[in-house]
Amino acid sequence: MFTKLGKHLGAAMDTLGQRLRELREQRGLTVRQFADRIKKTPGYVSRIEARGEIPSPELLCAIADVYGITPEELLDLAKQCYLERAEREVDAKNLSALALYRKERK
Amino acid sequence: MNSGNWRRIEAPPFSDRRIVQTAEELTKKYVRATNPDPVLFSINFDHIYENYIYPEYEIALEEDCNLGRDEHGKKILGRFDVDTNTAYIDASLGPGSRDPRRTFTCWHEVGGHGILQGQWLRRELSGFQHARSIVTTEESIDGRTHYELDRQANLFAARAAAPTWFLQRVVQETYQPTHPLRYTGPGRYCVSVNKATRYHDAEDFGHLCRIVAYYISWRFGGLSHEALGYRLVQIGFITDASRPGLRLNRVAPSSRQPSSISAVLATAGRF
Repeated sequence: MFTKLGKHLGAAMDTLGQRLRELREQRGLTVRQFADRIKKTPGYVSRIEARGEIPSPELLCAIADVYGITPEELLDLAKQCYLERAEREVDAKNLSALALYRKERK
Repeated sequence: MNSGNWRRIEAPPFSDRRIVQTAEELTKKYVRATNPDPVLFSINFDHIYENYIYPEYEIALEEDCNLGRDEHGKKILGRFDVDTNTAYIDASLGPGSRDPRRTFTCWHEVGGHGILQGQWLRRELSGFQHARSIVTTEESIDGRTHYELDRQANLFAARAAAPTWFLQRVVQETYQPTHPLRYTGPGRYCVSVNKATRYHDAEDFGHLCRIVAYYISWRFGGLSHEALGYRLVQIGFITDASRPGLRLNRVAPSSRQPSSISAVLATAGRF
């Protein structure tokens, strides 16, 4: 089944993971090669690129070194991801509290 | 699905034999690549995805997306984007939802549409102008789907989620069977689980399959008991002998009426 759809309908856009993947592809590195360079397992690279895991600031600095970019860019993206997640969590909690409150008031 | 923005394409040229082979080989390659502890090893989609599929095929996976509904108003559970090689899973199946369809849908999208059909789809659709993606609804992951692309993805998903080589090993380790378990009608059945005898009342064939699947489900990372039960029937570990003839394994009759075999099989076929 094929459909014309926008690029992405999901809310959980992991910009840090996407940026890291972009950088890796631009430099022609495979996941395994990149994992070797940062001394981590390919599974860990999968988690940060595709599953939204946010690496430690120290590791982000090391990754920036591998890619030859300034660490600030990655650290800022990581910060945005943390903030977005926290916001989503608070929103979800607020929504469920409101729903419960309204149900009890009826 | 061939109206408006939808376009039907020809069936991918994969034989069932090749699909099964590719799916089973995938899990074997994962074992070879990661060399896991054989005692604790389980076929877990998340582990296989992170440690083998992503590094090897670079298929991205995004969960917790709101995928909305298709043109017929049916909830979209998954979507595979051919251009970006990305699988999306709807938030309703998210890891926190504990929905048993999640594992199968992930295998359907990432394994079936991504690994099996991905390259072919990109080639087949290279002339197609618009954003290209395959949409999966509840109907698509139903064992009775008539859509070939989905049927193939389901076959791949079932075999990758519970490959025969591993399923047989787990059955052997857990049940040490000397003969297939025969369903002879509703009633009490005794099953030897890790050398301990367990008694269970089974209402129908599907129920017995789910009971047997229950004890080994921890080796198949969240796959539903229905789907696992269906695979146990496929490998011949459980047979339906409820029609006149064999009366083995059952130790006490039940007053409940059996449901029809076709209905039970239809239920077992739903993932």
